[in-house]
Amino acid sequence: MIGFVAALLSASLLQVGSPSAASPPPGEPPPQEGAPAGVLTRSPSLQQFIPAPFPPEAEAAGASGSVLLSIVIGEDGAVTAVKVLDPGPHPSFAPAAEAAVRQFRFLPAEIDGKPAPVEIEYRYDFVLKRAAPAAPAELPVLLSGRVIERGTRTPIAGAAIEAGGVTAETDAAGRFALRGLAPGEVTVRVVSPEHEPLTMQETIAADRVVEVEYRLTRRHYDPYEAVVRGERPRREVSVKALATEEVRTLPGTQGDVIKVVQNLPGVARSPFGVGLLVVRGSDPADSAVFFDGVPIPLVFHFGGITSVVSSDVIEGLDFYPGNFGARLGRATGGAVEIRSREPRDRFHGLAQVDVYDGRAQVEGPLGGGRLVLSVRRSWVDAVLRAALPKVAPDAADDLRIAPRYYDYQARYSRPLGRGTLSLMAFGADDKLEFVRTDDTPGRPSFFLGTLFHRGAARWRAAFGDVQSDLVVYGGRDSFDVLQGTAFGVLSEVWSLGVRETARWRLSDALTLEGGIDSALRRLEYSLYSARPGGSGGSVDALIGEKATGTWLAPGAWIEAEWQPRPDLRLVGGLRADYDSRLETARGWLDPRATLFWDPRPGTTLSAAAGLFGKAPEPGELTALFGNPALVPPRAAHYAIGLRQALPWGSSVEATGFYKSLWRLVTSVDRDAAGLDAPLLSSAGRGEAIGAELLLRKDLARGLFGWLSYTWSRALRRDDPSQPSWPRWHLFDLDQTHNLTLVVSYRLPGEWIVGTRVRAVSGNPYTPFIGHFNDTDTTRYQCVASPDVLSRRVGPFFQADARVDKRWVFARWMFSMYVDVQNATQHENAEFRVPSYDCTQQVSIPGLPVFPSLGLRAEW
Amino acid sequence: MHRPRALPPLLAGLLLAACGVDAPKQYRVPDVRILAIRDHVDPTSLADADQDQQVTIEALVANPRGRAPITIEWYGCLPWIPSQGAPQPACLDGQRLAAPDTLPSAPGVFALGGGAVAPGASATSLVTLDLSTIGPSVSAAFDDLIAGATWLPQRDASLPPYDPTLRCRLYAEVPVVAIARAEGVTEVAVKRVRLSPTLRVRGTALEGIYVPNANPAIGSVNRDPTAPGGCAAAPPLAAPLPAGEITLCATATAASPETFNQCQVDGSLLGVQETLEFQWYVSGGTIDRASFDGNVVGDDVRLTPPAGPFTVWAILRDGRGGADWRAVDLPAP
Repeated sequence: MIGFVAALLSASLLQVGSPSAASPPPGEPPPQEGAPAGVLTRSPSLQQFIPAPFPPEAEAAGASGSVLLSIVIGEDGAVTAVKVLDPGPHPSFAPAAEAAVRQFRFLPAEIDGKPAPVEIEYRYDFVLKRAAPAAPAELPVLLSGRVIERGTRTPIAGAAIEAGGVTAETDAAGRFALRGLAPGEVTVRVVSPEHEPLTMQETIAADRVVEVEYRLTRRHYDPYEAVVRGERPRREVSVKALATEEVRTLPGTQGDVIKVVQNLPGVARSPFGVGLLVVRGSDPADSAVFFDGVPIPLVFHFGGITSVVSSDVIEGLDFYPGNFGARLGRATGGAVEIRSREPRDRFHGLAQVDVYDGRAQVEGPLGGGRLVLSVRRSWVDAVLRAALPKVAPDAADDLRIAPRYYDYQARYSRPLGRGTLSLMAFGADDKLEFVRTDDTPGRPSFFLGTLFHRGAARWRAAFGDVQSDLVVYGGRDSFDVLQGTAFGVLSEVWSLGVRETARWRLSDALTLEGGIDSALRRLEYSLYSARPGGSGGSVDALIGEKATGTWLAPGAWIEAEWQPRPDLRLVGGLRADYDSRLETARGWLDPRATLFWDPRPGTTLSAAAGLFGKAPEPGELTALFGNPALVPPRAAHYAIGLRQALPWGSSVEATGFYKSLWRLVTSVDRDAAGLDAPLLSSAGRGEAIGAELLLRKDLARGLFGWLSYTWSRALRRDDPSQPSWPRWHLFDLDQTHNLTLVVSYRLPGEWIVGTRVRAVSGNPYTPFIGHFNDTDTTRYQCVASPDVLSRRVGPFFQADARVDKRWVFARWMFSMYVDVQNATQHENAEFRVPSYDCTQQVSIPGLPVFPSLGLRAEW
Repeated sequence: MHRPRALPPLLAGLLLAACGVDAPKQYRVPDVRILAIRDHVDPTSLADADQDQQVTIEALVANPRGRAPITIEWYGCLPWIPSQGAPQPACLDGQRLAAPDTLPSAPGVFALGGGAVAPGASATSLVTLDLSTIGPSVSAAFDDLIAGATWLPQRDASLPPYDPTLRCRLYAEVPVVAIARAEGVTEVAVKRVRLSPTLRVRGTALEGIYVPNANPAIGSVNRDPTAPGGCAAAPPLAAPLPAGEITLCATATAASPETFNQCQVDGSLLGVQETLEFQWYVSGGTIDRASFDGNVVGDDVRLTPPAGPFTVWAILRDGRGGADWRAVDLPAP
């Protein structure tokens, strides 16, 4: 027996980007704490393997085994730090493995397309083998074949094959050939860094070649197993990055990455059945959502069931609760940037069904590029059709179209010039309709339809030191509401927009960014409504408005990032916007600045201030239901932050913010202002103050999660015509305390278990102080207290649980999850509805315990 | 354009209906309540009055517990002329109606009278509104209405802006408040008495466009209709009642549904027939088909009677301020 180093290795990406979380060896500089989030766009791969000598004392003892290491790979591919996690069965293994690993060279990982340091878990196997003479090259090939990955059928390159003392390595196509094997029974061992080792028995014949196909099981089947907090310099005091594979198995979110945003600090809990993004006390319409740089008009499908973009085409997203950079505009609340992922270069597909919807997706190479196409449709309508006759027969009789939605996303990417061209199309369509037998034709009792389509071309390229990101998009939005003969809105918006972002690195200390963000829009709408002021219920006069208008909304911005000292960084920007549809105050300027100071490695202090503006919504500028003279709402954001890296891939982030809002669009009380007064004015005021805390554990060793807490207070002041004026009152979705705990743990055997626990203050409501019977309407009228929104419904508590299991077969994979919302069956009051005489307020409970099942097949 | 924030209440209503949340039902009348108010021009059935006419206003008061005494106070307010920037009348001001003792002293409020209500599970209170006593206010309101609905070549700033849809709404309103008081109970109800300048517009382009409203009339209140005769052929709702569930139904007289003009967005006129609607109340028992707040409307509804005597009220409304009602006292089934 002599020692033979099998050089078996395995690596699983442990946790990237928080190199500071790993303890560097003495004498080595600590890895830089990176602030921002980014997403891993390429895993590191081993380029140069250095075999470790088999320790003689271990050989003498006849020992075999593995050493588990944590290693940090620098952005140049060198190993910068090694830590022994498990020394294995013999004390001599760990020093030998550590010495060898330090000499490895990797193709570095990439974060957002740029090389970046990462930390991975690496297993080095020592196998004691009987020595065999080296096989002469001229000997015949008696065993050959291919090594592919189970489930995905991806060829595995660089896998080591060993049989009867003969070794070989797979090529890029996963193929290998072993020469000089002795005929007879032989044990074949196949190892690959990211896969479980495979051992097979083969019978070798002297007169023929045995052709085999080996399928290795991947250690983890998530293509992205970590989130990077590292190299892309953060430009905001608070930015939260989510990677799809990191969060798709969180309980209560149905695998919806965008819904996960609702569990982050600064975001109020959206009531059950209502999909809202309420950020730091701002109205949902005041926050902007971008999909690959293209603004989208709505985030969630009907009832907030799910977002309008399938998570299977999303690489990740960045969420900015405030003080975002100058490149994002036309929002006074927060911003969400959703990034689609590149299609894969082999044919793949998936099909998924759950209680809400079903989806299908295909992708693969096409015409020199790569295409992904995803389609989803709900079946809530079918579920309601079956269930409503039992629980609400009246509603079932009238329901013509139950809540029905679909969405689609397509992306085609291919190299073009000095960069990559991506062609994208995406959209969503929601409909709901109630029709009674006595409805006037074309005037259903209730109809709601929302729709948007977008087509976009994006070209990202580098020109020397300048990086360019150009997006040209066009689209159509439609929003229709009909409520019998008494009310109707039919509207369409056509958009043509362009966004260009140019980044120029002038020196190590100074980087400039600038760009344009402009759109040409055309609005067509028609409105009708019963003329206000009538009594008795019959509609004796209709008023309406029909108009078509085209307007230009150009915008431009510039931002400089200056780092005068290694520990000090200043980001300052200016954004200019214009909206030709406005009658007055058509343009506005938004200066913004953020200062970062790193007093010591791993610690970042930051402060930011800036102005933000947006145009009123198109519907708010109509003469009939709005006010054409509205001016742009404005906001000033102030924030201070502390971010501290912690061991074990953890970090804590604390942020304090204050926001002042003015020129808010607010309702006018026509009883006081007169029936001819506009319904809306720009006289609203608001402010919000709060503190946010996020304790986060990045995905490592299977554990991932965060604890989020927000304390906030958001206030409003109404139009002077309102009885409440000039007093300030709570914002209608103000939530003083908002605590969320999210934990997900990956167990061996492709199991994932997780829980989400939320405890949130109840929403404010306005109490009633009396009532009277309006005999002309047959209804009691509740008299609201002048103390607007002065009381709260009871606090909200909900615990959700989820279990995921994946089965990996030779050519495909199958997953199943059970997601139980409100697992503790806690009754939460979501809304309060007055009794007929207003003497009682009846609480409408939220979601009861609600288990849902999802099935998913991937190939 | 963004989703309407009104959607949550709609969903809440559906949820309430679906979840069967236990809340007081509007159709069930356990104590003193003013169920309806109607008016008519003496001695006609017209609900819409003209200048200087006498109007009788009548309230339907339910008193299933037989409380005594019950008094009714009546107040009226001057017609509202919103185009002249006048504030909303106190009779429609929720804050004052929630504290009715403050109403008599409010500007523009005048007392109409009142008194004790006759005993019984169902009674009425009558009061007379003499429009000649507020003649100048009514005249000013009519001037405003006619000016707003009439195109004039030279409109000065003192006139309301011309609006052709006002031709179909050529009426002013005198809000009237009834306050019922019994021991420990105060009930407030509001009715808008319509005033239309029929004589003033005679011979003008506005003549005949607004159709003054007449009160509808209940033909019969019956039970357990069957095909083919329907409700009209069904037996009257009277003792004795069969055991178990019964179906309540009612009919309106043939002359009840009137045709009125609806002004369209483009200014054209559309003849529309009134939609007559029956509303039901009971002092006991359960009605199976109620909206989420317990309001019951419909030509026929199913009732599970209570064990003891009870009263059924059927109220017919035409959607333009006109009403009629019947009260039926019934013994235990």
